[in-house]
Amino acid sequence: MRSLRVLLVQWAIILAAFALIVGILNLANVHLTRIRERQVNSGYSLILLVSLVLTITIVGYFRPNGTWSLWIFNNIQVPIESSLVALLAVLLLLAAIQLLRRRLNLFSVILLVTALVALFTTTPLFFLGELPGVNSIHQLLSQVLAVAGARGILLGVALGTILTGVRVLIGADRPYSG
Amino acid sequence: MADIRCPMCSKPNPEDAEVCQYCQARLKPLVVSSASGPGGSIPPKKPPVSPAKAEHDSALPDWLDRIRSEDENVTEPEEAEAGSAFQPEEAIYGDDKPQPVGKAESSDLPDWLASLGASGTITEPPSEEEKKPAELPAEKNEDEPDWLERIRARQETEGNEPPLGVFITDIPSEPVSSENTHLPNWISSLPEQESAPPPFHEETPVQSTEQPDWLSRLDTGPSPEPGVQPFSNEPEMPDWLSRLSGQEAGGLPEPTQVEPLDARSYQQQPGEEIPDWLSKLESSSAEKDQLPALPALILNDETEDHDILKTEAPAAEGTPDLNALPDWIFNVTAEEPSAGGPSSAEAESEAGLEPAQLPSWLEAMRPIEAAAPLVSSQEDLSAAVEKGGPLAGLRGVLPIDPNISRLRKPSAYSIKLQVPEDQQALVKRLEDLIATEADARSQPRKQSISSQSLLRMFVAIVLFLGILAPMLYDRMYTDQKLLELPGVERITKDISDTNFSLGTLPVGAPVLLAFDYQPGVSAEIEAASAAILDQLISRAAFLTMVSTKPTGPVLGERVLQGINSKRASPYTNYTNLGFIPGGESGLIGFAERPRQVMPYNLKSQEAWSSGPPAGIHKISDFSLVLVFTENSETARSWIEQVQPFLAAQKRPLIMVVSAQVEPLIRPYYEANPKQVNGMVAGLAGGAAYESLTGHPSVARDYWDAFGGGMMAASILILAGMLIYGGIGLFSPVKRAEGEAAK
Repeated sequence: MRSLRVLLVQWAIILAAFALIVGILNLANVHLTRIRERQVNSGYSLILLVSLVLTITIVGYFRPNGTWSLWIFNNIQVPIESSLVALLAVLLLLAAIQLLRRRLNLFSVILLVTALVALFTTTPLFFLGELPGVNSIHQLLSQVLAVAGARGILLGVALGTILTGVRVLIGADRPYSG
Repeated sequence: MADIRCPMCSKPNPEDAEVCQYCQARLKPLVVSSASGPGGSIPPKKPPVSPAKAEHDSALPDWLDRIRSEDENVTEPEEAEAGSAFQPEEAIYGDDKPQPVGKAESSDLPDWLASLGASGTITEPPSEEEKKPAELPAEKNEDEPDWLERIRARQETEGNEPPLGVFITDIPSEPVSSENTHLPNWISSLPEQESAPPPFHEETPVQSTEQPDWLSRLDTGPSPEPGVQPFSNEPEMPDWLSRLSGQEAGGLPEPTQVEPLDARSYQQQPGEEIPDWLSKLESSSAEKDQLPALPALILNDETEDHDILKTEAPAAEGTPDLNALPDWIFNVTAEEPSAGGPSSAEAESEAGLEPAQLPSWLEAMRPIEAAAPLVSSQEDLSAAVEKGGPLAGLRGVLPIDPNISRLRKPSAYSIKLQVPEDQQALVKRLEDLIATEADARSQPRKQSISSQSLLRMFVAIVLFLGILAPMLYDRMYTDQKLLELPGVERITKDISDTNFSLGTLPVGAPVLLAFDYQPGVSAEIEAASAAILDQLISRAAFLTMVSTKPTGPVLGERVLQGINSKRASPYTNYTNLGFIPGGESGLIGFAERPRQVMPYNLKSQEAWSSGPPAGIHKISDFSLVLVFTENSETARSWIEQVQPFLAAQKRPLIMVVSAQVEPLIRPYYEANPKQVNGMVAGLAGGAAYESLTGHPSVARDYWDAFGGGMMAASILILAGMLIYGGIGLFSPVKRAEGEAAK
């Protein structure tokens, strides 16, 4: 049975690899259609296709660890995605500032107070250094309260997974039969 | 003793007569059915009389009852002679059907009726209802009305008038038998094909090689009067009938030219009393006049089913005794079909009707042609005379093909609905809605600078200042770091366990590195993992890099490139196996058989053929597995799919994760036994690890900026809480809204 399981797993890996290729081809086809039909914002599709072709050509020619391949990655992909994450940080901060403007209640206040404590206790304050008792508060937040909530989430995920499996086994759910 | 009535001339004959003494027709059949017995004199079985019939008979006058009793005596033996092939009429129709009534014996008939019967009139016995008026004069000759006497006198003066009923029907008065034994000799001698009833009896000439006497008398009768329209359709005889006549001309005599009785000449005398039954007939005749004229041969449609006719009694046809009918009936039947238009009586009756008040919606739905027909029925009938074939000369027997007859342009129907004004208003409103739906709705003009945009710009500026200020201050003024790395009190057990696992690695031990994070969080992960990678390189560990994300292998190359950039000589003791497809399936496959799943590295070389990887056959052969990820699902996949293989060999699994994943991974670290042997979370964890190892690296560089940004964010959040919280608490409008919300 173990050899059969390994065989099936290898088949799944091959299928997944081909699925990735099919996904890339489908993406290219969709954007080719948009360009051919001159749909709205088809210029972005053109940029995508050009980037796809260039990247495949350069990485395929110079290998993934080649100089030009790393240049594309370090100077285009990493900054773009990092900027998106930084933008997320700014938006989260803006939402926290305006939270009481939108919804002024006790839970909003608790959320903001918790965020403030976590920020203050993560790093030492300028010119003040470590405040007494801050570290214990930080550990209480990150290792007790947060972990308690995370365990509840994980237990819920585990129970949900088991229940989903049972429903599939008894035929209550047929996710692959349509 | 009952006499035998001739089936052809209906005259009584002696019982022992073989042929009719009047028309020479055979009275006894040549083949006697078995049911009749040897003598053929089986006493007829008298049908039971139903109570209704008995009651009905009791209501009849004496003279009619006597006639019926005599007639039954005559007809019942004939029915018995019909053999078993024919069921009695009661068996077919039940007792409710009126019994066929034959004619009274000629000896009992009055002279005037006998003279009519002698003229060759072949009639059917009337039905029960029609028989009453028809037999009144037959019973009481003295009581007959004057108009009937005048008719008879006129007939006597004019000789043998043509039979009255020939143009109505030629169905014999006696029940028709399917056997030829009931037919006279001259009919029996006809060929088998001719014995079948022709399609139109009125126009089919009765031909026989042996013409009976009664027919001869008809031939020698006086010619019709000029003013009387003969019944014969000689001028309009169709071709098929002409051909048939021509074929049989050799053996058959010419068709008898009969003339209807000139009943139209009769004028009602003033003061003359019309009986009730005549009034009823007159009224029914008037109704018939109002109907469109039908072809004279239409009665033959009823005789299509010859089998039924042969078994039915003649009275069932309902043809009245024409001897007793008044002359106006003959005028009606002898007339040519009218033009087909509505009669004057019909027009008068329609004129008296008030037009229907149709609702507007119904008038709107009514087709135009239905309201005012353009083609009259007269035109259709006039164009429906058949020119050839067996239906030649007939009118209106076949429907006209509408595609041929309607040569005019089809009328145009109005497609415009008559819609009330309120509904038109609703339609217009709907059309306006649809029209405006397609139009681009003009967006309200945005203010060039809104409070929100100002706030966003302010937040961004404060964050930039908070991040850049410590860096600039360090470089410009102190050349020292503002913030100290986390102290010993900041170093948690997970960081120390990680340091222990790395510190106990043998030199040159194979270590598996999984770069499973997105490029967007590479700054945080790289800062957290920099000290760990420095420690591994310092121990000359053989690094094998894999990834379950397509960008992972390049991230690994990026990290090694960053490390080599700080080293005098690049570190080459590593291999990059690349991307493991299949997610969790690929991960478990790689954990079980890494050589089969990932046989080559990024340089397309054998990854397991030489060096430290040559001794690796399963994942537990690695001394340490180090996973870099910012995704909790990816971390769980490594813990759940790979860690069991490592735990069997007590190989450590170390997690370098982002700060946001730490709460989800920490339960695995704090489990017993540990599923994660060490963990470094975020930039703070990396800084703490650097502080623990005493080798400042990337985390140290980011630490001041990180602290400045965190300080700025904390101040902004605190300011927002105070401002908006104070406005919400002290604003009466907001307070009222909050109370309303509660």
